Amino acid sequence: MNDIEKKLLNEYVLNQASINSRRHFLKDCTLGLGGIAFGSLLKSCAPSGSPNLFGGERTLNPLAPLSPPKLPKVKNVIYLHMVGAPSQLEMFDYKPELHKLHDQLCPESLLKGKKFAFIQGVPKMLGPQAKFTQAGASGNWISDNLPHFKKVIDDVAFLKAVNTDQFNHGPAQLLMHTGSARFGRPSLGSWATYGLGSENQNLPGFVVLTSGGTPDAGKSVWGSGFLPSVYQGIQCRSKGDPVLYIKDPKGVSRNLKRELLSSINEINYQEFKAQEDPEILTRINQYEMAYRMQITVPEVMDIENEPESVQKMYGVTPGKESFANNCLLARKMVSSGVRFVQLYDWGWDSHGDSPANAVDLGLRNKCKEIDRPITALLLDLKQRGLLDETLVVWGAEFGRTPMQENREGRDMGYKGRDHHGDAFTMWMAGGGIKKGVVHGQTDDIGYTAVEGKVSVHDINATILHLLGFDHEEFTYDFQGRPFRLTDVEGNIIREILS
Amino acid sequence: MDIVLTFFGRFHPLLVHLPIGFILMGLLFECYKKKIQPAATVLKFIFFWASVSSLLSIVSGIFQFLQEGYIWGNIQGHFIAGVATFVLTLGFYLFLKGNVFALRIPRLFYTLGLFISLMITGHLGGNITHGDNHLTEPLEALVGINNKSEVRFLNVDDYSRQKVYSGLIEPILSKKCVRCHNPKKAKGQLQMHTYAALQKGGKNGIILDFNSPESSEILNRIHLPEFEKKHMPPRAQKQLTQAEKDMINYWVLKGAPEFKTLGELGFNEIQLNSFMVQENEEVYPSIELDLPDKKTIDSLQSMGILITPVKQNSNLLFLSTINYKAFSDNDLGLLASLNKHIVSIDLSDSNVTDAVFTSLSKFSNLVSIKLNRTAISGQGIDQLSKLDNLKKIHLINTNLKSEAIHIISGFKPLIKAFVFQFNRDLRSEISLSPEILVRFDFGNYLLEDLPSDTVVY
Repeated sequence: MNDIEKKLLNEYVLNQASINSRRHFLKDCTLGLGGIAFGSLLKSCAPSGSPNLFGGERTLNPLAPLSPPKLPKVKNVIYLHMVGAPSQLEMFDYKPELHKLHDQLCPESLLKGKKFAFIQGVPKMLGPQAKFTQAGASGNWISDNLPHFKKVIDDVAFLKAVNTDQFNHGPAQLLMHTGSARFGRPSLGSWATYGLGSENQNLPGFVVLTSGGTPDAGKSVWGSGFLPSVYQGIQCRSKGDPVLYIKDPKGVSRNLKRELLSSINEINYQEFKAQEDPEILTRINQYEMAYRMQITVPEVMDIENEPESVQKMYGVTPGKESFANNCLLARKMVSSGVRFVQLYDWGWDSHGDSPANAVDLGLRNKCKEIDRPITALLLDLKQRGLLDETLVVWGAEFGRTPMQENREGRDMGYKGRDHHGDAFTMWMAGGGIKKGVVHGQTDDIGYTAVEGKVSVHDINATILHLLGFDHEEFTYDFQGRPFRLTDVEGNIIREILS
Repeated sequence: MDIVLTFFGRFHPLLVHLPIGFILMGLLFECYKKKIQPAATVLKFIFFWASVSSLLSIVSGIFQFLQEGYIWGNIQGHFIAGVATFVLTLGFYLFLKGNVFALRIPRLFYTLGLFISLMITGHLGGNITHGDNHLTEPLEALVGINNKSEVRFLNVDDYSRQKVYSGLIEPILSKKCVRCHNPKKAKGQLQMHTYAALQKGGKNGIILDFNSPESSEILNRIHLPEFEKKHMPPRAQKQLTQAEKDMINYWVLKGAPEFKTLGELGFNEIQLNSFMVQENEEVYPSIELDLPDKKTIDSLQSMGILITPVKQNSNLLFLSTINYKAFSDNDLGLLASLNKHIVSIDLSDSNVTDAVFTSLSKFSNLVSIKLNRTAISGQGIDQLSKLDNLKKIHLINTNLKSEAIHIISGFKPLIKAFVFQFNRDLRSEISLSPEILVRFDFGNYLLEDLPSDTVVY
């Protein structure tokens, strides 16, 4: 034992002693009852039914892998969220009738009782600003804005009549990802990591990658809500160091860092034993995870190591922040055992207030930014045997109106559409999903659902189902009652399940 | 008079518990007769009342049999055993009183005989009330033999050709109704085990009204709120699911036909979704296994090897070396005691070589094998043909030889082999028929450049 080690050990023993004596009074004399209450709180760290045989012991490792209650169809999820809400009418929902109504005034009957974010008075109808063709063996319709995607169209199941009751970005994003338009609920990815843990001990179970900006609702869309915060999404930066301060400072060796961490964690553990606050465990775990991530994350996040053909397929630009890079990263993470990867791509809010936000200009460029990467992602997952154990979800917080936006009652400079949640398109692909099906149908102008309407809760129920959970049984006790991701709603969309 | 008999008969389920308690208490007392005094008086007292209550049970049982539509064949055993219990009880009482005839038979004959006959009577009686499998049902669930709530019997391919009654309605009724409405036990004199029996109806008349289907009694009964007395199935029994109710409703409103097919009646796949057999449910072999060895699991976990059940409370296991890449051929020996349990194994990125195939071939229930990015060349892969359940094999970016592809193509149960190699085109090295080729994924997908790729709007 060298001098430094002796010193550290000494300090550690002293520290431990001081904690023990200081806590002794509080613990035994005043907090006895409180401790009992905390005890029950702690148990909630492990979902019920975790078998002891396989070390369902979650006090020490809250991310220990657990088996789901039902046989899962998929192990991983890649969730692609287009922040701002892309226009389904220029991408997937083909409405030739709307073309005929182009530039005509919208009938009053369509506006009655409806709320819009910006449309005022009587707007004009706006015909589809893209050419549509049928593609694949399924013959499903798709716009020419997504030429590459035609190659994989037979692998996806479309939901053409998704419905949300929110028409502003923030609340709608929260609803989509946490099951509630208000703050405070855990996100889908948090629920998944809480229920399943993480298979790779050196990587987080839930990773978030953004391109273009943070969603309007902020980081709450990948927050852990009332779940222990260890289950929140870990946002990796898309350029530069993936995680800030991940490199050791100059002059600090990895061994010294290890000892430092062990000491801090030991002290924290003493604190935990005294206080029984699960957030202390979260902290211990995050220190440990950060230490292990120092090696693994730079490795996983390095896209330049990929074969050139793969880089070309995705269309990546190493060193820059892009959706293409993030798609490749998502595939790399999933193949390294990351449970839930969420991608947010900013810039889809096509109001028509600028060229970038025009459905016939900026939207086309946005489509181009995602067309090749998404197609490559599906093909790459397939050739690596990962597509049948991964669920890929594509969607947004809502869709857009068949009417042209007329902010403040005036015509806009460019062609744009307002927020619209009555009926929009999402798709899923991968394990447990029927290939090439379309579920749901909108009316002739793509305004409301006429068949197969599904809600946000239905989508979340379906995702949990594929991961092996019954969304009605998967609960967390908080503030005196069990909470669910799907609240009191949600039906599994069996029509798209294989 | 009938009413009185019925009323008294209904006390049978209550009365039978008296002799059970009395006799067991008496027998217990008999065991301790040397320790507790005075035994003789108490025993006499107990067996007197045991005899009386046995007799009352038998009488009430006979009334119930006469009034409630039970079939003699089914209660015969219960009745005989019950009478035997009564005879033995009375005999033992007389024995205790010193009756000369009773004293000719040894004491042990009475006590042992009583115990046996009491158990038989009780068990048979229980089976009549609660069904033959009442006792064994929870055990079946324990070992996972059948999950009754999820019985699925229709196939996507041929459901439309199935007869509506035999294919859909009968399975529902037999799951939820026939237990109490069958030839053995016809509550309300109604039997529901055949179409003819349904047509006949019960004590309160017909249940299917072919003239005005919407007022059929069967619909009334299933749609009444659960707390109503006339609601069927009774509150304490397993209820019809919404889908099952919908199906019965739809069928009755269509005139409750027997022979029309599901297709003719306009049922579609989505309506019938809850009854469709789901193929993926059967990914893993349905076998019964003992709990995996705790010591082995602990030692594997302490090495950093990931081992978890494929779902909660399953003894089928998934093993992965994702956190222990130093795993080598020798380490496979550690898994020997789990060779039945492991159904899915991921040794990607580990140090295993071709020797792995010999070891893996002993894991008889393997469904999925992953050996991505390992040094295997496929030498000895033929041994995996022994695996009857092997559905997927992942051999991406290995030293796989093209000969191995030919061997793999002979694996009968195999659904897909992933053999993508980054820097060589394995596909061009082999020739296989198209129907065999679809079972392989050679990868190497490319996205060709399109003219539109460079346009900026």
